[in-house]
Amino acid sequence: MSRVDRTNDGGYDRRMASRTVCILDGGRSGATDGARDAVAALAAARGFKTTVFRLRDVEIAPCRGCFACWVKTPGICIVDDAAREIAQAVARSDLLVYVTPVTFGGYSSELKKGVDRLIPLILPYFTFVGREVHHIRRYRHYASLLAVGVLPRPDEIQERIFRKLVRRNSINFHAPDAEACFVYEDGIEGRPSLEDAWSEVIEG
Amino acid sequence: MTNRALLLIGSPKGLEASLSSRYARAIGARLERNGWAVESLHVHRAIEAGDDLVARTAVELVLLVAPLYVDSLPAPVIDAFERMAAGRAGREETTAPRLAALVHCGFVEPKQNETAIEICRQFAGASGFEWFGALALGGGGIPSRRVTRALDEAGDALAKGFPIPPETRRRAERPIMPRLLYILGGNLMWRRSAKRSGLSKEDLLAAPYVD
Repeated sequence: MSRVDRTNDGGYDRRMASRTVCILDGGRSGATDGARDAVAALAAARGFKTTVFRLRDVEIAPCRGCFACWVKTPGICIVDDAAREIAQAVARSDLLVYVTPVTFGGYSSELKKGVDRLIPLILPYFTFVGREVHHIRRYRHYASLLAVGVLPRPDEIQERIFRKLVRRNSINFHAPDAEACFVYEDGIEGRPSLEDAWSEVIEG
Repeated sequence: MTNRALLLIGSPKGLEASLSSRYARAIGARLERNGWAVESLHVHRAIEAGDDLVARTAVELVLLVAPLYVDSLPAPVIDAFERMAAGRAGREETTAPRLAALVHCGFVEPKQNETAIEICRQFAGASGFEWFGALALGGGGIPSRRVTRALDEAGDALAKGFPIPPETRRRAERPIMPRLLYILGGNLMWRRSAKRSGLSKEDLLAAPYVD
């Protein structure tokens, strides 16, 4: 990652940590295994420390929409399950990678159950981002976002919606960079390829 | 024969307390006034209970009402979509059931719901529903005459067998107040909520995962 933050967030000194990537695998069956392993291999080859959450094996309750993580236990979800560990891993990452079957243009429910529980990472307060209203950052440092969508075959409409969703997520989670790419069932990659998308989001 | 509508409530807060159910009830009332039989189903509970969603949605009109969660729909709603799409695959129907959607958010700009609505439309196309349009509402439920009017117009159109009119959606997509005013009012509300929990405005800024 091109950016090395000198952060004042608590005592956690990002300069002392190696670059880290957090992979959230939202595949319900094995359809995303190949893409997830390819991301992990890229990360290893570039010296990233990698944490992988295979969400189908993780018990995560749906977000209750109670806002306790904003006004009662600031920064921590009131529901004590694996989503807390995931939120912490994401908060400490330089790159967050979603690997998911493209589901009606969006993320699978398996991935979404994890993503919905990441809202403790931002503050309740509103501000302008560009000309829109969004929530203020809680942390100084946020991970860039790479989303790898798995599809049976190229699908222009779903890919457009997916890219838009990734772009919108990057605004709401203050990702410095964001990129989406696609892998098809036969193993062929769309454009950009996974490796190019990785380079784009890491090196800008 | 009486037309049947199912109001699918996609908020975790359920059929009583949620803003989704309030909006759904407003549209449901217009349908009932026009002779429709209206039922409600809480998506989160239906998923937990393992309800047969394909059977429950075998009606003339399904209206999904859900909050925006991270630029999309809440996970259980997507779960329900996945189950319905799988369950409806290969079905032969003489008349496709209709699907309309209302997505609302706590941002002042209703347009922020756009991606979630596109996902609903994709689901409809992939699952054999006839897409019957959508409404996007913002402002976190602040009462507004424009919103009330949009709900009434949407309900009347659906009751008469028409999709939600695009002009109704366009009118409802204008922010209900100036953005700066919304930011100031919203931030004041969050500070008050914190105070009620015994927290200061500084407490809200905690960054626990980097300590």
